[in-house]
Amino acid sequence: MQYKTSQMFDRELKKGSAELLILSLVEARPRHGYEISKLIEVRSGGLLRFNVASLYPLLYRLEKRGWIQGRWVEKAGQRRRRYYRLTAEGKKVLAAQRSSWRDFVEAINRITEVENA
Amino acid sequence: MPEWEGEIRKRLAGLKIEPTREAEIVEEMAQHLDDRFEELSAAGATEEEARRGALGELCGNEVLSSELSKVERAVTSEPVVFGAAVLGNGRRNIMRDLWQDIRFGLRMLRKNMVFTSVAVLSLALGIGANTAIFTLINAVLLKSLPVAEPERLVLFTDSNSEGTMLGDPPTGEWQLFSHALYERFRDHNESFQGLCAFRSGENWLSVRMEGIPPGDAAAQAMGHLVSGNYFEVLGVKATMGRVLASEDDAPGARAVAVISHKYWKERCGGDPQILDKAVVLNGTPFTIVGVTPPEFFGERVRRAPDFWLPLVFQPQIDLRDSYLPNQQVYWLNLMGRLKPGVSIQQAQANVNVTLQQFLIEQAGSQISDERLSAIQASHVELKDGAGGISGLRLYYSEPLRMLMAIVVMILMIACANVGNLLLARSASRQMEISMRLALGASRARLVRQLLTESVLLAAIGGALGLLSAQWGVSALVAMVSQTAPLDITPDTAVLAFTVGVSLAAGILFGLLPALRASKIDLATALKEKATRSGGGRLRFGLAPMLVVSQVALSLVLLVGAGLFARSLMKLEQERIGFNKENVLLLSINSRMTGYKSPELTALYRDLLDRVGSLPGARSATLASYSPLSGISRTSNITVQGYTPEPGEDMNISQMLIGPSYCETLGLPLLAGREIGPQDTPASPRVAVVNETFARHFFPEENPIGRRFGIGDGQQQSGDIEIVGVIGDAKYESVWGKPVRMIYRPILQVQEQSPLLRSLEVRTEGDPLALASQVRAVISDVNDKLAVMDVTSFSEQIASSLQQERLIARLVSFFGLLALVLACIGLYGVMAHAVVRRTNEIGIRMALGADPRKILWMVLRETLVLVFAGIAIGVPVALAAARLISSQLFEVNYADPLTIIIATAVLIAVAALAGYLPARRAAHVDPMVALRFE
Repeated sequence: MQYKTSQMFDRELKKGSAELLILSLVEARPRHGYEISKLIEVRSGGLLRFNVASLYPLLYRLEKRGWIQGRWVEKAGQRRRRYYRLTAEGKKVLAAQRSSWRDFVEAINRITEVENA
Repeated sequence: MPEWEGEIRKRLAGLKIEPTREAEIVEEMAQHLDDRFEELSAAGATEEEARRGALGELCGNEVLSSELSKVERAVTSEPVVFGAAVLGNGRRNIMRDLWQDIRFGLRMLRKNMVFTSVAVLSLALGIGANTAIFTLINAVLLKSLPVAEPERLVLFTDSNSEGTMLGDPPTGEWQLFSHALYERFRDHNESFQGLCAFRSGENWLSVRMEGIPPGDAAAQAMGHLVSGNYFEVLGVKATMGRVLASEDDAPGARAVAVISHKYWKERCGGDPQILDKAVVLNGTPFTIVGVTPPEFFGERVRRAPDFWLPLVFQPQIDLRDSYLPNQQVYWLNLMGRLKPGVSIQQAQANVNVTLQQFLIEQAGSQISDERLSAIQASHVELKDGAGGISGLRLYYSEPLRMLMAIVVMILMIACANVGNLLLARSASRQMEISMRLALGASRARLVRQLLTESVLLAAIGGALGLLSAQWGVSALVAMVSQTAPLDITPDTAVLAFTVGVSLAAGILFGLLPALRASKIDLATALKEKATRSGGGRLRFGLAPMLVVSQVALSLVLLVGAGLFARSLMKLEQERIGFNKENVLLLSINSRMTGYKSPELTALYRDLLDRVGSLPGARSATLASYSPLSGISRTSNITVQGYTPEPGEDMNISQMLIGPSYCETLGLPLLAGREIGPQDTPASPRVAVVNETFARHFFPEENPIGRRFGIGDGQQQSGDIEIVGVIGDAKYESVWGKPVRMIYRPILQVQEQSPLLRSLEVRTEGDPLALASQVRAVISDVNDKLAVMDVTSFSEQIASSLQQERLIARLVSFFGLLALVLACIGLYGVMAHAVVRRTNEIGIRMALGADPRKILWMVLRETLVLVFAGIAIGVPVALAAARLISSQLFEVNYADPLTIIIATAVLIAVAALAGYLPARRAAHVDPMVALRFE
């Protein structure tokens, strides 16, 4: 039971933060799906991992909301890849999500910090 | 590399995602799995391990499909159109749709380059012709003078004629004013913020300036006498120095001049030290005080004057007594700037009251009833002055309107062409369209897509049209006038016009085919592939109707072209009374000789003797002006023993001629004698009259020995004796009838100061070949005699018909253009019909039909269309020709010959356009045709 709760908590946390992760990753420049998943894996030190089944439905949802936009790009000698870039609306969402994430983390920290006094 | 797509599709199967979307998802995920596979392989995994690792990304069978089902909707009845885009909230994104329509449209246009180039070319010609003519209309009729608030300017006349009138006050409408009357208007008015005057006409100046050698081209310039407030009223400021001011126009003022920007740049080398420099104009030193702005050209739309000079210096410029104190000289045109809120009608009422009061005061207390009623009839008609005075506007406004109507017809023909092409193409796109409809696209959505394509075509055509119009307009303007300051750079009006025309054209030719194309019966259309061979006969559908109207319209234009061409031919062949061959004309100006009348007479006599005895010259004479040069002079006369009808016009054309005039210009002497060297100031005053004069005043009698006088008074009526009658000739225009003329001896009449004269020489051969010798003789006789224009008589006549020639050429050009466009349309429709019927024709051939019969069968259908077009076109052409009948010279608007020729040309060219597809039909190989789908 204990295990199950932790797994559920993990999933919800991931879901809530996943949008923020993806939006942050495509902020600087357009990236394709595999690149996004690798970056999440590498930068989180292997702690966070998205697979095809979780990453792409999320990308499509963000695209449908108009926060990111995908475009097929062909490069010589390669198969074409779909690159996602942040839209103007996505930029606004990202800024809002970033600040509420900071507030959230700060609040959690304040509560969970060991009381010294 | 393992095959992933099957695995992915298996997991998406239940979702019923729209196929193209599904393909995209599969492609993207497969790519991801490839990457994962490669990564694992590179890390040292075996192929099987790597494959399993990659497939693990899909998380069994359920996760992907359940996650995707929240995002991707199943196929619904939403129309599936290429490029459809739906916003997250379900609203359609119009802008994105539009952009995708455009991209799709461009792709479709690129796919069929032949179609696209024919359509774009047709449109470019149609829109280009419209833009070109509109640019001219804009420049000639619509544009305002480059001055401040031009819409508040009013002219006291917009008549193009220039000159000075001496003697009794004008009657009826006043156009020219004396200086006293100008002052009265200027100082007593409630309507104008300012009122300025300027001479009707310009002055040739001889210029002496530091830095310009005498005898240089710059030593001749154009000067314009204007009132001191001229620039203030127009609202024009100097680019350098200052403009003229009222003080400059006061008696005793220092002589100052303003020069044009062009003269300053080109003749004075843009000298920055030009201000306060002295310049000697016709012998009087002036100080240059300013330079006008580059765009300013004065109140007349033509070459800008080089110098603007105050009115008060008229005697110094004219080298004669001042006109300013003389109330009998009418030499000024007036222009006013209305006070804000004052209408042109109010101003006109005020001006007329002032005019009549002035005239009544002038007439004094002993005013006769006759004079009083003449005064009451005297009036001014104020005209909108925003566009200035423009000869081009006067001469070309009617032709330009006609040309505009013509180019609109051309555009309609071009639109019909493109409409036909689109129809033909939409037939071949039926599969695509019915597929889309079957997939649920709405009709409106399809019509929009098809319309986007046609507007795209029109936009490309419009852009090309704008470019070709620029080129065409420059060529046209060069033909119309080299010197008028016509601004033909495309401004907002022109651009807006082109955009509007292109849009309208795009919708016009696109809408019908689009509506029709989208109205397909699905079941039939999808089966069409199998049954395409059953094209059947050419039905009287939209395409043939378009061709019929094209034929009708081009017949109208061809008839117009024929009428103008015949009219021009008649004008060119018109006997104007002279023998125009081998006559050299030179304009000479004796101003700078400084001679007065008696000395000039001796000078002229010497000149005529020496020019007449040149080898190659048969005879030489002198006249006050040459025929068809645009100059005329009239005087009121009183004929002894002739009582004019009440109100009869006794204003007769008068000219001064030298000895050998009839011989030199080839006029027949009908009775009496010519003017000869014996007619001097010392001999009795004589004149020669023309036939029309003689017939008018002495219908039953011999005019020789009869007398008349210049002026209204009976006491002068015996002054001049008629000594000869010469044949009629046309002096003012090839149009119209010869007018009554009197010719007086140039060596006898000295009351006018003769400055500009026409020297006319009959030569043995090419007249222009003798020009340099004649010039040499002139400068030998007196090196201060300036030669202004040198031309041959036949050239002068030809250039007097310049406008008629230009219009005949333009209308012919447009007529041919219409013919070509209509034939392209005809060819396109017939060729398409033949292709659609290849199968049928093949069967006929296989069954033993004669190829000639097949040829005739197709040709007959062409001819049916052509004759239908002619049947409609002839009455339309007659109605249109009636509108232009006033512009035709001795050609009836219903001229049968013209209509027959135009129809014949149309049938011949159309038959050729129909023959090509017909021949192809006759050469169809039955085996190929039967296999044809």
